[in-house]
Amino acid sequence: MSEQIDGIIRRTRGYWYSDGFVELFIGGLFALIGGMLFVQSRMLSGSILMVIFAVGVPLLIIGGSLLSKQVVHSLKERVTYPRTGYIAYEKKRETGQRRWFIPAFALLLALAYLGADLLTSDTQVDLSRFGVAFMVGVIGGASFAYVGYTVGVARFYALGALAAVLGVAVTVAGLGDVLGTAVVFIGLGAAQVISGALTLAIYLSRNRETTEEAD
Amino acid sequence: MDEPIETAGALRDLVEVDRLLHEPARLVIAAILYAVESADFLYLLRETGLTKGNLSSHLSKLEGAGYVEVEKTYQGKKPRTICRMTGQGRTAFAAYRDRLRSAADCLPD
Repeated sequence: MSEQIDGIIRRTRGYWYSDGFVELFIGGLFALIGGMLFVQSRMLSGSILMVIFAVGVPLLIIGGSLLSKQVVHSLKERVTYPRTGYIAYEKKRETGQRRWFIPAFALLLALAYLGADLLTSDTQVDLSRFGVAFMVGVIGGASFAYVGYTVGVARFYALGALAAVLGVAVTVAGLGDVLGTAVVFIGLGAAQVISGALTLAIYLSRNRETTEEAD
Repeated sequence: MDEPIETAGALRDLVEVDRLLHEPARLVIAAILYAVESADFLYLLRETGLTKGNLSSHLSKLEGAGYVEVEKTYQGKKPRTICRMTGQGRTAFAAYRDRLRSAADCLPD
């Protein structure tokens, strides 16, 4: 019974991700950031465009993060709430899961680093190159896995694994910080957009719009 | 020697469990509302699988006990009934969950 209650609570918290809008928006944002980084990696250093892009990427990240909740909420208001109902979430509280997240994340980071070390042991790859792309991949991977665990949405584990693999693969391939990070962002963005679009298609096919009648 | 006494105590606690929450449909409603700030009638209807009349009746009982607040609003021209768990409801649900857990932990596999 206790497990069933936990399951209901987890499922309710996972409702925010049930329609794929979050992945579509965040995935689009990731792909855009990746695209900007890719263009940046092809530019000559010191050019005006390079400076614009260097400022533009952080602005895009901050602006996108601030806008994400409003955009997703407004999409849900039109599509999701009339079909399967409305939920307002509480402000986040410190939970037991959050307390162990940081040590678990540090362990994951160490394991990823060790894995990369093993992969490169027979090559001339210098581990000091492990930089932003590696961190983005591993932090992204851990974040997806954490969300997947807390809200019980299995597809986030796959996205987490993909992020970590991309981060390590790009680092091992020696693409460099900017291009490597661009590839990780584009890969993760594309994966989220595909995952979000599939989720939305399934959601729409299963749920028709209904209206609440006065009782 | 202490263990059987503790086990008996935890199991005895089950007898005093909140019967209003112990009813399966109300327990599902309470678990949903405990997880969020608020949810509307349509969401509860779909998640519980109850009929409108049954859901209304269970919500009324929870509202009567002071565990849930029900507010009728409009989203544009469409009616939206918002349900939220009160502080008293949260405390009662947390206590119910704790009792259930301790009793389950005491039972052999």
